[in-house]
Amino acid sequence: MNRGIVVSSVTVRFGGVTALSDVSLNVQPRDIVGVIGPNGSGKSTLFNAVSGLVRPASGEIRIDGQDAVGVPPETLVRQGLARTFQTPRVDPVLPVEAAILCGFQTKARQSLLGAMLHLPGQRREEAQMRASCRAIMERLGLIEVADVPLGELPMGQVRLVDVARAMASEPRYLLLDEPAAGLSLLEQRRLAAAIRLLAADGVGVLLVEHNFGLVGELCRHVTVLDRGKVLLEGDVATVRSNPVFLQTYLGSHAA
Amino acid sequence: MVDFIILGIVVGVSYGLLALPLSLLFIATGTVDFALGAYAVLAGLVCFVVGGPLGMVAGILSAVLAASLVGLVSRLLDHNRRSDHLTLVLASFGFAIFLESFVLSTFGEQPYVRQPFTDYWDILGTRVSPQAGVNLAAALVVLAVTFGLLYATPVGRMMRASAINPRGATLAGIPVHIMRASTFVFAGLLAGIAGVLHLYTSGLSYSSGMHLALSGFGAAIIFGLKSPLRAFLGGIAIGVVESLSNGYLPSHVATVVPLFFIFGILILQGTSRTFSGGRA
Amino acid sequence: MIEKWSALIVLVLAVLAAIGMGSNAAWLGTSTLIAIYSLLALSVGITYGQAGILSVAQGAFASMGAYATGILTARYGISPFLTLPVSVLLPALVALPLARLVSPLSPLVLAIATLMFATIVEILLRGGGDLTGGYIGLSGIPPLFDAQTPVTFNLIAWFAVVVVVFLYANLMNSAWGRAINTVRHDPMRAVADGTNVTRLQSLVFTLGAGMAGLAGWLYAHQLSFISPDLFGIPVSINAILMAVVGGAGVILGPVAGAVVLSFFYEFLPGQESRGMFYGAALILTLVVAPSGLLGFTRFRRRSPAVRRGAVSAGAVPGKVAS
Repeated sequence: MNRGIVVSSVTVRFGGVTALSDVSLNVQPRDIVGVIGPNGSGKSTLFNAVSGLVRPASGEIRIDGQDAVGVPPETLVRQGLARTFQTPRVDPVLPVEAAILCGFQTKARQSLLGAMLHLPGQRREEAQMRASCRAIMERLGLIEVADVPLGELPMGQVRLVDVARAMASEPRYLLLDEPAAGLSLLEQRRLAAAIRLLAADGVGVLLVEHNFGLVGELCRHVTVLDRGKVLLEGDVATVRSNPVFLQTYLGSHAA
Repeated sequence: MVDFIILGIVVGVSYGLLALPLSLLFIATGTVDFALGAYAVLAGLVCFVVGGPLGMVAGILSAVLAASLVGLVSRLLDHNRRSDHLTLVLASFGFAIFLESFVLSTFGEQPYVRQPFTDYWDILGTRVSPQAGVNLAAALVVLAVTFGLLYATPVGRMMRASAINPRGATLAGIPVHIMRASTFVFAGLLAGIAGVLHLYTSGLSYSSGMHLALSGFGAAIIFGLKSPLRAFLGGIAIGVVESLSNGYLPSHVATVVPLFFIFGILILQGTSRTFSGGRA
Repeated sequence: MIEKWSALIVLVLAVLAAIGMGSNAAWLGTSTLIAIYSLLALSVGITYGQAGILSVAQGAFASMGAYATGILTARYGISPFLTLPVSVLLPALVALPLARLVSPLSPLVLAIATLMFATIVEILLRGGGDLTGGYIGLSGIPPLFDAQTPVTFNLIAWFAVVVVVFLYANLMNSAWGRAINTVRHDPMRAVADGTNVTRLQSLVFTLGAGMAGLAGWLYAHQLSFISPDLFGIPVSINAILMAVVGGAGVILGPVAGAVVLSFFYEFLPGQESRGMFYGAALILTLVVAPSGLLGFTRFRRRSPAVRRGAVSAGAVPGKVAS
């Protein structure tokens, strides 16, 4: 069996517009793979194609050898492909612990009747979820804000909660959609540490970013998209020093 | 067959007249006002009681006033961060109940109707009241004025801009809240006209509001809420279906057919919609 | 959280009220009606308050439960306790495919679709001929048991409320409940948690229909006659009103709304002006206290000082009406 998320020559069209053309990508367990590109480069489309929200016109997406094209997004999540959102979609009144508990959907086995009758099995399951939830919060340093409503947290911690929620399903792969956007440098560091922790546990991480910062810090392999096509790919150091990259990409974001 | 279609168009015009403001409201505010039928009833009954041309003005004005109140409520609801589109729907439910009860305690239970024409026109062998001609003419004028207002005046441009992109419109200096409020007022005006025409066609009673709103919704929805013209045509389509089923089917079946028609189209729309991605 | 004890709260209050009322027939009648309306409003609570599906067809589902037991007991002499599962399951079985069909619709269009559905049901009951008794309806529906008195019936009705609240509160305190709330707040977020949104919404809609069916079963055996206009759209809207005024998102909110509005109804002078009061109450609630009378019990707000860079009022729900 072929492990990993394997994207081969995927093309996505919206009406007559080709948003993504002939893009390939490989994310192995323990890997942190970066995709960067400016606005409109197709990185969000790639993200949506992998997470099952957009159906490619051609090409193949396989997750651990299984065909993922046309599989409903929630089924992909159940198969071990978790994601976060660029703008965390949170209920601002929900406390941190309650929000992370929502991530345990794929772990819930209780029947509707069992839940309604509060059977022993349900009680056991609920206790397990709460215990794992606390463990995740401890790992990510969220334990002291467990009761704080998300609406009152700074963006950096909300992003961490989003990652924690994704971790709850014990995913084999995690897709992160511009997780560093709007974070302070310190917050980026904490997030990077959390992502490294995950990868060390064997999770394959796909990091889609606008800026090079976090990608440069975390990834070994990086793909640069431009206008729907792969402009460059390779390990971080090579890409960083490539004149084409410097000219077309960093030209507008000189760091 | 032809006679039923003609009759259907005659009835459909009045549905279309209610569908038009619903569609306008949906475009401008993303929500709908369930109390539109109640405005129409209010307008019709006030018109009857006051009487004469003055009655028509008074009737339409009362509908405008009622609609302005809902506009105001929607403004208040916007202040609540928690409110979504359904909240205004609920509020408009509340207002419809309020108005129905107000009309009942003011005007009583009996139906009101005014039919000034005693002779009929003969169109392709069908007896049609001249009132039908008046309704159609009024509807066409209203339609023309609405489109003129929306597409040929600066106010209309501002209205459409605030509907398509409220944030952008605000940045461009368009008073979005005023635009929304004026859409409510304008919708009230149209509902008022529809109510007066109803008084002169088939009559109204305090409880007609829900039926009118329902027909208006059906009309506005079947060809898509987003276009006032299609909403109007939807009204005519429903009128024709209703008239045909009344003509050819036993009476207890006939009343359900238009509803099944609308319901079926809704579900077709639901099942054909695919999950579209875009920026998540 | 206090919500866990919802069923116990209702049980204690209902017992106290029953002791207080003794055998006063008028009070018992009102109390029973409040229980029945509580069930109907609870069905709005779970579908609208928890899952965000605004259904204007709860009265229609109640009518299915009422007519199922009415026809089976009055025509075929079947025991009311045997028809109870039928009254709950029939509306649920109708609701399930219906929900599958309408749940892809935008919330707004879905509300209108349920309104159409309710109208269709009402017309069908009117045109049902001998089976449903047409306009006149069904009469001669037997009591639950021979020795039924207003006192025992009132207790049974409130027992039904306690059971429903117990099941409902347990459900909302489980992973199912968390998924249901996520779907209401943001379907896209629920998908990312691995929830099949359409399936879950259909399920909640079905549960709500079953609850409404139970209300219909009780109503039929309280009144001993039923007719289509007892379950019309105004009844559905009333149930929504009670749920929203009491707090649709709080487990006991609909029950509180049913109690408060029924009391006001008792003291209002004229039949005609009732709607003005109800309508005004609904609008006032939405403007002043959008989460209802019991809304304050949900999540306690922590420090009022919102830190800089806090998240704004959440993302826009994924579904857009068209």
